[in-house]
Formats: sequence, C-alpha cells, structure tokens
Amino acid sequence: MFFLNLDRFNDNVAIISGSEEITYRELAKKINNNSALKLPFKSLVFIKASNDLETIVAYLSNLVAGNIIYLYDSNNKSVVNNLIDIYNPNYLFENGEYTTLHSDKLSLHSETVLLLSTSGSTGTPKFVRLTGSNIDSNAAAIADYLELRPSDRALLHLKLHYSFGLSILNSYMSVGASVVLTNTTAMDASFGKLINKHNITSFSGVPFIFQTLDKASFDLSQYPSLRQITQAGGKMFKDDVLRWSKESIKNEIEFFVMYGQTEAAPRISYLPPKYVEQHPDSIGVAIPNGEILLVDDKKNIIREPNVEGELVYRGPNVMQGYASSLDDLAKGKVVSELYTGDIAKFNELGLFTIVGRSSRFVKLFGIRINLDDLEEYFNTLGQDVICTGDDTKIIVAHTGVSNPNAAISKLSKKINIPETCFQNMQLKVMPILSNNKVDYKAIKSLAHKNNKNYFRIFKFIFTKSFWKDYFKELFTTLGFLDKSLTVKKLFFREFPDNTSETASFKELGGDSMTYVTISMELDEIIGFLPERWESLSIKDLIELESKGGEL
Amino acid sequence: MKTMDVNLFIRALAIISVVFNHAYIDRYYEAYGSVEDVFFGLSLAGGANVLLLISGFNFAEFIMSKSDVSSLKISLVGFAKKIAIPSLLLTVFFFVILSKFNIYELLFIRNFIDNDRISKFPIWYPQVMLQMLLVLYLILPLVFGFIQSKPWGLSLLFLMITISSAIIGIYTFELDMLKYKVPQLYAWVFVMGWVFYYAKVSESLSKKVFAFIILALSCILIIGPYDLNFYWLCSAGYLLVFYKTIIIGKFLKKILTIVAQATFIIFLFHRFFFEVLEKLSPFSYGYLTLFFFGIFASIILWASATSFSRIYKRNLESVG
Repeated sequence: MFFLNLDRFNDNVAIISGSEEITYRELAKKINNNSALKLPFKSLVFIKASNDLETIVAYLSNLVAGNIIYLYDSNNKSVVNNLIDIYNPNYLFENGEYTTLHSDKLSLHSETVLLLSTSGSTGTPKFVRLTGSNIDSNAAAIADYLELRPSDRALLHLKLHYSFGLSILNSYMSVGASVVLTNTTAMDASFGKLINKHNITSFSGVPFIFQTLDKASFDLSQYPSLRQITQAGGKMFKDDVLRWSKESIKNEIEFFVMYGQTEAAPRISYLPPKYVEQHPDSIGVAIPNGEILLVDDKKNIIREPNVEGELVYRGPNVMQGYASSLDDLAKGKVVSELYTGDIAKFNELGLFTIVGRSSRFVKLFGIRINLDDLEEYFNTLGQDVICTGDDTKIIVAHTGVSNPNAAISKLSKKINIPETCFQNMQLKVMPILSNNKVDYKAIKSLAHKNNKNYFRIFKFIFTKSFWKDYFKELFTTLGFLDKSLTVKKLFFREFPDNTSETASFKELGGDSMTYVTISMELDEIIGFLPERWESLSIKDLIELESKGGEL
Repeated sequence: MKTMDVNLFIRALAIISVVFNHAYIDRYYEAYGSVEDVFFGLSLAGGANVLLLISGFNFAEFIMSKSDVSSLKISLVGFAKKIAIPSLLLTVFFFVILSKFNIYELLFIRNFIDNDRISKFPIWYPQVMLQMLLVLYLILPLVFGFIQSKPWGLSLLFLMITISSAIIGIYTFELDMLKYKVPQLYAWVFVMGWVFYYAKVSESLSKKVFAFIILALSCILIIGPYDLNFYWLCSAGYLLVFYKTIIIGKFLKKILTIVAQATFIIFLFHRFFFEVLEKLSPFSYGYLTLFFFGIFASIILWASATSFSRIYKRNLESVG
C-alpha cells in the first residue's frame, strides 16, 4: 500500500503547506508518532478535511493504523453533526487534535479504511466504503497513465473530502512526488502566482474551474513549470476541451480528460492527450488494470461500436459497497462491478463517450431530453448556462447571459418542445457544491421558491417586455394576429402540469370553460373541430393536425 | 361558410340575448317576458335559461362523467370555485364602490331573502348555480353508481323531481317577491341539460325525440307558451340535441367564437359597463349603443384578462 513505509522516498519533498516543507522521511516520522497508531482497536475516525499538513498526517496515520476514516467538509457542521449521530464515530480530529467521543468497540469490517460521501456535502448520510487496496490500486493506476515522477509537484486546491482531490494526494504520494497544499481557489488572483512560486508541474480541475480560469484569461504560457493539466468531475463542453487542449499543446503541456466516480476510488478512465483533439467529447479508455463494458437494458454486453448502453466498470478499485448506517460498516464486499448509471458508447478506436447520465435525462411530451446536450447547445450560442429540471419543466439557470429567451425559443423549435416548458432563471451566484460541481438540487429549489416570490412577480409586470408580450397576446386573442399555435402548445398552455401526449382533454380534467377555448383553437389549428375531440388523446389530435384533419 | 360547434353557437346567441335584453329593459322596461313585447318591443328574454341548459349539458359531460366519486367531487368544487370566486370579487367590489353591504348577498343567499341587490350584475345566476351545486355535491356521491350504470334513467328521475319542485314552487309558494330567482324554479332547466347530453351521446333518435318532447312539455307547464323563454329553450334544445355543428358565415363565426369564449365575463360585467356608460357618456344614447358597449367592453376585459394571465404564466419564472 502506498501509504505504508513512506520513508522509502527518503528526502523527497512530500508536502508543502504555506512556508512549511516536509520530506517523506519527516512525514513518516510524524505518522509513526501519531496517536492513531496507538489505539487499542480498529476505530471510526472523522477527520475535518482542511488542506493542511495536520489533516494529511491524520489521514495517512489512520490509513496506516487500519482505522476507518471519514474526511468531512469543514464548512458544513450541521451535516457533520447529523452524520456523527448516525455513525457514532470513536474520534473526531480537528484543528490538530483528536477528541474522543467514546471508547466502545464498533463492529467495523477489517478491510474498510475510507468512507467517501457520494454527494458534495448535501447532507445525505450515504457513504461509499473503500478498502486500502481500492485506493492503493487506483493511486497506482493514475500514477501509471499520467507517468508521474518523483520530481512532479501537484497543486492541491481541491478539497480533500472530495474524491478527486484525495486521488491527487494519493497518486502523487504513491510515487514520492510533492503536493502543495492551498486553500486558494481558481477564483483567486493568487492562484497563478502559486503555480510559479512552487514550480507546480500539474494542476487539476472540474469544468467549473476551467470556466473560471477562462473568464480570468488564464494564460498557460505564463506558467513554464506546468507539464500536465487534468480535468475530471463532470463533462466539459467540447469547445472548452478543444481550446484547453490546443493551448496546452502550444505550451508543451499534456491535457488529460478523465472520468470517474467516487464508487471507483475514483478514477475509471482517461483520454490520452493524443486523442483529445480528434475526440474531445470522449472519456477515453479504462485505467490500467480496469475494464469498461457497456450493457443493454437486459444486462447483455454490447460488443458493437456506436451502440448506446449503460457503462459498467470492473477493477480492483471498485468499492466494497455503500453505507447508510453504522451496521453497514461491518459489511464486506457486496459489489463486484460498478453500474455507473451513465449511458455511453464506444467508437472503432475503443474510445468511450458518455452520451448522458440517466439522471440527466428528462422526458417531456414523450421526448427524451439530455440536459447535458442542452447545455452544450447553449454553449455553442455563446451562452454559459446550466440546465436542470424534471419531467415537467427544464430550468435554464445562468448568472447573466444576453437574451436567453431568444436562445430558448430557438432550442424549443429545434427539439419540438413548447417554449413554456423552459424556465429562464438568472441567479446572482451559481450554487456550487464543495467539490466544485454545480448544485442542481439547489437550483431546482431556487426555481421553486422564485415561483412563490410574489413581489418579484409583481415587479415583473412593470417591465417593457411584459407589456410588449401582453399587447401582442391581446391582439392575437381578439383575432387580429395569427396565433401560430399548435395542438401541443395549446394543451400545454391550458394544462401546464401535463406533459403526456396520451391524455385526452377529459382525462386532464378539462371543464366547460376550457372546453370553449380549446375547441375554438382546435378549429383554427386543424381546420375543423373533430367530433368528440374532447375524448381524443393529444397524440391523436397532433396527428390530425399533421395530416390536415384526417386520422 | 364555416361550421361551428352548436353548443358554442347557442351559448354565444344566448349571452347576446341576455345583454340585449338588459340593455333594452334598462332603457324601456321595468319587467320583461310577455309575448306582447316581442311585437311592441324588442325583448329577447330567454338567454339566461339557455345558458342554464347548456351549463347542465356541460355539467353532465365534464363532471358527471368522472370515473370515481372523489374526482366527481373535486371537479364539482372546481366548477363552483370558477363561478364563486369572480362573483364574490365582483360583489365585494360593488360593496366597496357603492359603500353598501349586505351579508346575505355576500353569502350568495340573498335570492331567498328579497329581490333587491347591491351588485350591478345578474347575481341571481351565480346564487342559484352555487346553491344547486351545493345540493348536488351532497346528493350525487350517493347515487354515483347510478350515474355510471344508468345515467339516462337517473337524469330522467332527477328531471321529474326538479320539475315537480318547480311546479310546487310556482303554485304553492309566493315567490313573486323574490322574482322567482330561486334554485327550485331553475333546477329543472339545469337537469334538462343532463337529459339532453345523455340523449345526444346515446345517438338514439328515440331518446333525442323523447328529450325534446319532455322539454317542450316542461316549458309549457312551467313557463307557458306566452313567454319568450319557452321559444328560446325549445329552439336551443332542438339544436342542441339534434345537431352537432351549424353552418354559418366565416365573419359571423369569428364574432360568435369570441363571444362564446367571453360568455362568463360578459355575463358578469355587462351591467357594470352599462353603469360606466351611464356615468361617463355626455351624450344620450339608445339601447343599441348600450348593448354594443356592454358586449364589447366585456370582450375587451375578457381578452385583457386572458392575455395578462397567459403572459404572466409564461414569464413567471424570470428571476431578477
């Protein structure tokens, strides 16, 4: 295991934290002296995850001791307190000190050493259970394909409680390379200065960080020490990948696109830099000693290229299983392979591409919509937005783009979904999780709250765009303007909560008042009013519309 | 020429007649209804009963056709709300601008107390409708099984009961002072709508003929042949039960389409607009001006409210 006998790397610089610099020999000494190694039995230890030396020492010490560690986000005390109630840890490590919570022996599996949360501190008590072999094999695999050297130096700005951040620490330590700890983020002006100050050879980021650096006009040519940049933690837009790749090549930097899940400790695949330009949306190939397959709905392996299926991963880094309670920590391996929930395909070169996450699909009017694709579409229009939603509405959230309604209008025509299914939402700040991923749940919650914000709604009435639309609608209602209404739009207007095409007017709870309105409009759209139209499904009415009135 | 749904055609004509009649009455008459007025005046009284007939028809189609009791109740309550809320708001509006108040009128039961009203709209209609809906809310769940299995028979049974209550009401109680604006005198028209609906959907000619005959006989018994309401109801019933569509000119259809959609708003607000014209017009005017003003102002109001509501909902989610 990489974390054992770290003194084998002698006087290589292990950690730089502020002005403090310690070698592997010194680090090993600190670990040996750590009280984690003096505990009478295997314990559960919650460690406050700060990017500092004490946290690293505590983490490594407890790994060596064989305890089970949970690194918690220091900004979320209430979440941690909830987790402490559920899991009843023996010790708490924070601010350089251990606090004993109790001395009872817990029923803990002998191989489990690390618990990672599956979400970015949203409070869910669900953990991924990992063994020493899981993290060791993954660290070795990452070091292998990145060809890490002892002279490398990574900038660790990602949080340690995040699997991506932790994997950087693990993989660099596995080869005796250096890690520079910092709480500086990509949004800080001093981020670039740090790279030069410590001759950083590699930094990593999630898509949001790269977007932030783009906005700050981050110029790679200013950082001659860099030799690698790695991207993971979500799908980056193709254009962004290409741009970063081009800039990296220009500056003799290798740009790696990577993919993984916490459940795989976390790395699953990587895209070799030589393929990035030709296949910027690919996640590449499995990491060394790992295997990626695709399966269909019936769990049969897909062997043909360009056929979509669920991505399944096999390898020594696949977790033991999940934990939702203390009892689960006694369990061993219950998972043999990892069903990722991502839909993917592979090409003739064997490079995999994620088509979408199953949770990133919504279904409106019978049409399956990939929210990532929508984001990509907006991106091609130069609009930096986040799309989320459910089977009734698509939320388009942004912090200020020009004329989003026009883009929404274009998109709605393109994918044949009524414009009113889209909710345009401008935010002051995009909600981000502590792992720097977009907080979709928070966006949905904000969207829901905004609908109840009556003052904001009242204010809207005094805008120019409201009155422009109002008069246009007034003249249309009175028959002076063409309505350009379709059956789909009509029913969505009258029944905004319904996105199913199999329902009829009666089934949707239509009454005599809406009957009048809809029958008038249908008469205009189809050319006549179909007999017993109120019992026909929306789908049948759409068909009538397309066939000019004949079914 | 274009075809128009007969239900909507009748609805449009009915509301036009209501507004016209009120415009005419406001200018020339205190009361209306005798056949002499057809010749010596231009009363078109009868539209309100036709609207009630259509309401009953639609009630049977959209509410009584629900597949379970709870859906029936929910739909019934929803329908009642759509009548009650705007009527209540309008009532309160008139209380405020006229600085008057009447608790019975606020509770929609004044039709049982006297024939006066503060609100400048035909409040008797929502009063009668809501009172009927309340009774139906209590009774219909009890006979839900029959609605599903024997709707035609049940509607005939209800019709007999309501006709009886109307006859008893007319010949037994002194309802003159209430101007007969009580539900027991109108329920039969509403239930007649059910009978017509079930006759129509059965596609049985004999049922349709039977329904029409029942209507004519009921009208003779309750209204009498010397009342324009009789002719209105029989004509409307005839069209409703025997026809699905009617052929009319394109321009006329366009006008009637808008009127049909705005029916409820026209019904609620035309009298208010009569008052507005009365207060604001520096010129004298006849009943036709009053009629057109009442109709068009109500249509503009309906179109404005509809447009506002649609734009509001469409743009609801823009966040500052």
